[in-house]
Amino acid sequence: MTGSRRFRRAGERGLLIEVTEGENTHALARWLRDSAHADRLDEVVPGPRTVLAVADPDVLAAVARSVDSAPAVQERQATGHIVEVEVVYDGTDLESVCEQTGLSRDEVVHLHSTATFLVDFFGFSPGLAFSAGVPDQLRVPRLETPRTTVPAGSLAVANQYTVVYPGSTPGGWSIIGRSVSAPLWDPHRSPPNLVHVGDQVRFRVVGP
Amino acid sequence: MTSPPTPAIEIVEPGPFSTIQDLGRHAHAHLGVPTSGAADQGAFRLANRLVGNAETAACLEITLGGAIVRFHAPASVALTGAPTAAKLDRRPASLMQRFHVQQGQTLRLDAPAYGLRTYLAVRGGIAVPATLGSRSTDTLSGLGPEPLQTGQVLPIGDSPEVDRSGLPDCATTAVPTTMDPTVRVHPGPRDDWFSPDALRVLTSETWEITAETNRVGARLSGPALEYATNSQLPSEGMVAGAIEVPPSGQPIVFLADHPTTGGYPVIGVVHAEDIGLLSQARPSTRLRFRITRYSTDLTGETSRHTHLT
Repeated sequence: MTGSRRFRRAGERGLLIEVTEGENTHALARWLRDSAHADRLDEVVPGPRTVLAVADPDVLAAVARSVDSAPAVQERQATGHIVEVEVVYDGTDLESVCEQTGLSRDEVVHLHSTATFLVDFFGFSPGLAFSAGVPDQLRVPRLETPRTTVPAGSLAVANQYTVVYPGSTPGGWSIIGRSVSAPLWDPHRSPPNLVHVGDQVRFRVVGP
Repeated sequence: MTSPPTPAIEIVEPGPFSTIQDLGRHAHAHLGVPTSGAADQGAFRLANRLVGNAETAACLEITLGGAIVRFHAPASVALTGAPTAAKLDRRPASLMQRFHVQQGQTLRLDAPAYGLRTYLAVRGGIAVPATLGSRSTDTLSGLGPEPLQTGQVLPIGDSPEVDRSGLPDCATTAVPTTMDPTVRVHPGPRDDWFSPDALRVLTSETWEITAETNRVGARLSGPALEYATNSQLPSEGMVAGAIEVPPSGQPIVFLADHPTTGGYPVIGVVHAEDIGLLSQARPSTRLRFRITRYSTDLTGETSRHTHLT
């Protein structure tokens, strides 16, 4: 047996499932989307440690009763697909990141642009690919108060994740630069997303 | 013989902020696509029922009135939500009731006396193209049509084959109020992330809606809700009505255009039926939260106990 997952309710129509240690939330989300409840689940949203199911309360009860029969898949899915994004490291929070980490500007740029990130999940806004792999020395927490708007294409970091903001949205991450490549997300392009969960992302410096 | 006029409405004036809304985008949240849709779903659904549409038909969501709409063809329409002094040409127009409009007539909406959002349903629905299955303007992600602009002409769809108008039930719709609302809240999913006192503070103090409030969320001002821990919560899925608390301690209640995931702990979730009430509350409105129990427990049984599973 896989050990037990923990349930937390998130309102009448939300069930937050905390997975077991090291369990792949995307595998559990796929299991739910393929389950007998699939047609009545409005949303299945995997995060790093949780899967949120949104549905009517009776469906959530059925999910809670059946989810222990889902196998806990441990391995990370990797697609082998590598996406390179051209960036300029001139973000408004670059100085603050230097202060918080004790690194110089060049060290921040070097660490970020030589790392390889793995797309863990989508969230927050369409096409925002949470890409894991920020080196330990470069990790900073989220901002105390999120900004009400962040320009599209902003390159930002928080904890182990880096993102390129796909649209102008509110944001609570430290902005270290901006992408000058084709947008990673375009709802009028088919498919709208250039990266998928399990893809690898690298950032190439084009200035300044 | 002249052919009948093409059903369409013209936005003569959009007012401060008007959008097209339906019941939103579903089953794309794992790609980060917000649900969006009408902010006050009770008022929105009622508007559609009044004109005999399916509840999924697209309507106009008019924020703080000010809109002027001209009809290019005869139409059957209804206004719900924030009560506005509306005029069809020079004659006062009814609220919460279906009425008929002749070709060339103009409907004007004044600023509502209270509340924020008025819904205008037209029989047949607003028939602009859908993006990812919805015609809703999502102000967070930019998906869907742009907010309405002066001079825009919007096509109206075919009248529904089945007329659902009959005797619509208005009773399930919470009308915005001049009173300071009390909003029901389910504790969690992260109430244990907070100091033992935080839930009591949330439900005993008065909270003021700040000017930084929009379709994404209502930002509240009040005493700080303190964390019990300094650790960082991994991002997780968010539901409409989630009361997310950043380190500043000032809560944000997620509304229609809320992000699909968030990284700050959620102390409680507003009851689904009260989200419309909150969506109609203007900045500087003072509100209170009251803890409510779940109607079913996780076995699917109807709860008769006070415990929260």
